[in-house]
Amino acid sequence: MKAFRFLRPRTLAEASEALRREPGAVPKAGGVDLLDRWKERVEEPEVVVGLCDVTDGAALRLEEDGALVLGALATLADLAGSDLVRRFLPALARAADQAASPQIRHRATLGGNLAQATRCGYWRLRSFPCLLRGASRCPVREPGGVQETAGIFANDPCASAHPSSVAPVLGALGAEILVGGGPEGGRGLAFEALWRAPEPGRSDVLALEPGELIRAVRIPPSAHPVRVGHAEVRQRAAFDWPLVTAAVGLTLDADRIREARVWLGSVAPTPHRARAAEAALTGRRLAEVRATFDGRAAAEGATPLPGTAYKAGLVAVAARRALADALERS
Amino acid sequence: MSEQAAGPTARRVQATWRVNGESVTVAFRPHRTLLEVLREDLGLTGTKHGCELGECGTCTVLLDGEPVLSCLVLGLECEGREIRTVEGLAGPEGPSDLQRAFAELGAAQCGYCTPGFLLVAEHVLAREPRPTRAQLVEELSGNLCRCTGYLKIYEAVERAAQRRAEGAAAEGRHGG
Amino acid sequence: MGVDRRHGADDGTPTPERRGLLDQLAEGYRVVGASPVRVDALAKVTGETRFADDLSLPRMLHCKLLRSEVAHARLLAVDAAPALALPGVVAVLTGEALPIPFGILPVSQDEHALCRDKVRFVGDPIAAVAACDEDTAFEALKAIRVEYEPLPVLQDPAEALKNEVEPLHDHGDDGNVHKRIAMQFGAVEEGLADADLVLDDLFFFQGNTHLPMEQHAALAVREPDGRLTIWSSTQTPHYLHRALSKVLEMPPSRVRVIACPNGGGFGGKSDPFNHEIVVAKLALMSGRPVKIALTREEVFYCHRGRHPVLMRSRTGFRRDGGITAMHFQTLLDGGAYGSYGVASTYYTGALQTVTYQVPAYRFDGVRCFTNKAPCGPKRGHGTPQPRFGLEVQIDKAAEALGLDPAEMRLAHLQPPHAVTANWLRVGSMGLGACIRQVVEGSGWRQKFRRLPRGRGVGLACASYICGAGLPIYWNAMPHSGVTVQLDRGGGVAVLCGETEIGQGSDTVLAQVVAEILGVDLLDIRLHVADTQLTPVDLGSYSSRVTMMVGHAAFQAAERARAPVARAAARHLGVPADRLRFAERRVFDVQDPERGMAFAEAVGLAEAEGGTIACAGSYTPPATPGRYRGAGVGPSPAYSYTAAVVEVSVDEETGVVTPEHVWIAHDVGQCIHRLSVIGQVEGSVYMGLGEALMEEMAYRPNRFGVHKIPSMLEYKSPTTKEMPPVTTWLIEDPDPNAPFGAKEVGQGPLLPIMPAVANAVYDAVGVRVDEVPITPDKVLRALAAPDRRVGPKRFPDLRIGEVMRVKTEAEGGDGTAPRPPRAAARPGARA
Repeated sequence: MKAFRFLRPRTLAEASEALRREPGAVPKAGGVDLLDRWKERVEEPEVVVGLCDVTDGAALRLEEDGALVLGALATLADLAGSDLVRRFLPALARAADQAASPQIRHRATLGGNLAQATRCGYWRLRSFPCLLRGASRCPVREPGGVQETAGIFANDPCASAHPSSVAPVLGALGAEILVGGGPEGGRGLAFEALWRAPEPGRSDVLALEPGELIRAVRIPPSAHPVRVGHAEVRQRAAFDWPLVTAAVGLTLDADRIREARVWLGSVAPTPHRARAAEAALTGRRLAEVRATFDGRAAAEGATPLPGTAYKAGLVAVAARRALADALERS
Repeated sequence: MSEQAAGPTARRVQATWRVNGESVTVAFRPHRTLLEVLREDLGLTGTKHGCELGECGTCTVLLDGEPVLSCLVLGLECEGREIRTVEGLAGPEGPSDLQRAFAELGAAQCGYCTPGFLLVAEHVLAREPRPTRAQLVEELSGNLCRCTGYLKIYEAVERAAQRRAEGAAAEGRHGG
Repeated sequence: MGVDRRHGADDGTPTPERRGLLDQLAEGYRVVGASPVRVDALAKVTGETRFADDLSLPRMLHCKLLRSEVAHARLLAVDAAPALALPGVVAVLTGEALPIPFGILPVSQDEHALCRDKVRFVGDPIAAVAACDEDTAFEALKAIRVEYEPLPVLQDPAEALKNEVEPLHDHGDDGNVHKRIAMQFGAVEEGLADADLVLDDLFFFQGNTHLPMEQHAALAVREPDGRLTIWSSTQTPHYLHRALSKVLEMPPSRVRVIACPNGGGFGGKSDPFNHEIVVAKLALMSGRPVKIALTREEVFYCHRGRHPVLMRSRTGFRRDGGITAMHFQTLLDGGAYGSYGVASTYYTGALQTVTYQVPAYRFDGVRCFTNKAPCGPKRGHGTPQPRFGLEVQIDKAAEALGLDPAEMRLAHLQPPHAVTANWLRVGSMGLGACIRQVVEGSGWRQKFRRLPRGRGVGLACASYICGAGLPIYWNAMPHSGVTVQLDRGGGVAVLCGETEIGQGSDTVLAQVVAEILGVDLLDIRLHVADTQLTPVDLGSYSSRVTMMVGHAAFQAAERARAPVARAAARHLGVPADRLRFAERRVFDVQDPERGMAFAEAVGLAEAEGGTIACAGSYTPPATPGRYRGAGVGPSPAYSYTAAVVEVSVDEETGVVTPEHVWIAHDVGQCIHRLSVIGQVEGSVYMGLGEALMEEMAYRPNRFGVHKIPSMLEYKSPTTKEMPPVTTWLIEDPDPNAPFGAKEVGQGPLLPIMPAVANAVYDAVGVRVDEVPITPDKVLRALAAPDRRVGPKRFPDLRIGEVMRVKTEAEGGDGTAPRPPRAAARPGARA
């Protein structure tokens, strides 16, 4: 790892200010992914804004309007262990509790989980070309590219996959992102607006303005009952990312689905919203979808590479299981 | 001020930690990890490294009582915090009951991952005196071992738990 | 429980002391077979064991290697001078300074400490820097300028076979064919023709790597008198000693190698490595201690792991399941250097014959060079791959013949104490007991083909050597030596070149001595793995340590016991053969009160005959095979294993979950029972990893960059992938082994991969004829018309002359008739 200057603000506001003041500075929370990237010399920041002393970023609280606000600096272990989260957002607690490993969950933060970079082995090996690091083409897409874990949606020109297994659950919960500290001060973002499509030469896929930080995730209250389920397909049950994650959120009107949110992880450069699956569920009765939903709609629009053909099937399986999970848990 | 990235004159920062119950002040370069400072600056080589990328659990220490991967924590982030390493498990009378159980039951073969497992196990037993096998599988899932297949490690933690429970019961009888 | 009456005899003379010892052992063992706390355990659980990277010395420099980022290129220029100019850099090194090649086998001395003419794989080291700290050394690497001229990259051994591109090396059998073997024992084609069923199957075993938790490290120092000392995480200090002496052109007597306890080896620390030679050279150049600790990525580049092997097995079966003949072919992807590759190639054909009767056998094996990290020995060295093919094929044959696979195997076991078609002498043979045990214990009869869909059981068996019959370099010296030195305080110093890699060899050594001298383990002080201090032991590989160190320790301890027994006998007025050594005492077995402390007896003996320091050593017995290639496969004894694995298969995701493993291992006799079980469980664990997830794969479109040089992407089983394991030990002491003890470190891994594959078939009816059996392959097999995933083609190995050896049944004598003066092989270059 290359030496860097380490700044340690006390508040999120100070952190944003430091980021604005120091162009190229990188915010570091748990640093689980960042330290890997720095040690592997994929990135070599000159200035690091450490968030270890920030005291106003980790709270998990229930607002008066019934919204849940999850501080971006809360760790995955905090989420998994919080009574509030377990009571109101059990699917999120479970997703957080299955991520990575116990030690990593003690350090990895909610914000960092959403901001983590792809696991693409080409991107992570500095000596080899990668579109995100400025090459003209994505080597994963070439014949002979290692593709098994690559994206199957929106995978041209970059076939990376966003590995977060927490993000799909938040998407299914209808979460909003609260960002702060940019030129416009604090603002709220629709969940999908946190990310942008990969661009040549830009390593991250976050749609943040300079100086902006993810402050919190807000789960808005719902006037109607909501059921959320999630399912992962993974080769290794710990210390790994899923091959595919699916989360299904259903807002109910008695036994009818008023609104469905279906999100997938590890299948596209950013968390992926499966709109066709949402359409297939919306307006239907629970008993009907329980009997007929086969998940294939979730794979609609997939453009798998030869090495990822199997993943489209896994998407359907995961979506089906996520729905079953949602229906099981009221 | 410009940083010198490397070389004999690289700038150092100073920090004070509590390590295994003792206060220590140590100077190191600002990008050094907790793992590196423990091993190289404090001579606490009981903490091992298997990848230095957070992939194996070998370098686990307890930071304010929570198991963390010392390779993924910056030394700078530990100011004023409590760190426990394998060197802090044994008492003046010798290895702890948990360490003895590991030795007796063959939970350490090559012994390289052992310090990491011991610290996680210590953390588990502190919260859950009689962990089930399923809990151990879950709690130890962030530590890789290539020698044992994990089974002897579970048995050792279970033996230590049982001994602690018996010890506590005996104490209770004597006290009552 | 039998006691070997042959071992340890100086000249076979039954002295009274020896009779006393044999009587003592015949009464039952006191330490052997028990499970005392391992002698290294307390240091390991307290973090006090000093692994190589835990060492540091004053003024120590840190070394980093510049490794090739291209897979194959000519080196036009390497300029390290700019690095030397940087502050904090003390020395730089390029290949020019180390012109002498090395390699583990005398026939393939094809490695240089730093590349000179070419780089041959991504990760091949080119230059080295020694600097004040690791960061400085790392930064300095960037200043080294390398000019490459790209060469065509070979990634596929089938391509390499064609010899269409410039060979990687100027040695080997034929262009990029490093080794080509063809040998036949008995009438194979006739046997196949006589068979009721001939199966012709293709299998592929993907390469995988050892992944020891400890990254390799080494520390070298030039002593004030110019001699060299190096500490290293090596399984084979003796071979490193030889390589250093050769490359550095120093007399062996001036080079001292100390092997630190290895944080796991599994075969991955058995070669002399570039980094060891480099730090030695840098220490000699700089006069300062120099240390290197490899990164995890570099450990992947060191590799020497399991060869990827493509296999074709053509086997004839009678209606009753008996094998009539077998023709087994292997194509090994060797990677960029020789390493143990010639031996590995032979091993892919050596042990097919020791489990079930194979009256006629032919083996063709080819190893090719490719531009990948070099392959070598990993746990089971060359035998897990063919064992996978063989055991899956037997499962297929049983189904085709309508036989139960367990019964079919039981009916055709290789008999004990007999010679196989390829002239291996099998000693004790407990495979039948193993099979019966796992069949009974697993509920096999209620489960096989009877579990609900998605759940299945599979059975497989295996065998492994207990040390190789011949050394790696030709010599007639012992394979292992031990010195036992008694001190008048009752302490026992034991010196041996053996290396503790986690398998428990230190404890075995101490137990053997403690058993014979009747002392506690705490009375014994071990001095091991130090080439200047300890008698040679060839190293911790090929499951040889218990066999060979055990014999040597037995002999040394027996020799040390004799004068003590004599002195005590005289003093107590008791015949020496009535004396027993136990509980740190020497006493009359007929009147146990009549005796004295061991320490006192040592003092008497010392007064009578002087200081007591006795050496013992061991050389394996001569092997019956005397043909070319007969050196690979013979062993003083063979271990046997049978395993049943139960899996569940998620047909929607293709994920295979092992639910339970039942395994029985014929270990002959336990020395340290708990460690034996630990080795079995660890083997099961590693086998499951190989069966389901571990693969050393490359990126075809990036010219051989390792696909996954990290521990996250190279998946190994976590606690959550490890099922319960039920272990049985079959103890039928082998007459060739010390106390009858056979190996356990490697054999129990072998049946796991085929048992998993057979269980997957039982669960969902698909054959995945390759490992690892990953979810995508299971899904593909489920969708395939033939319900199979696996290789579909086997290339022409371009075998020329086949060496023919008559079997014992044919009246052969173990030799091959001299072939007529060789005509050019079809593939040979002019």
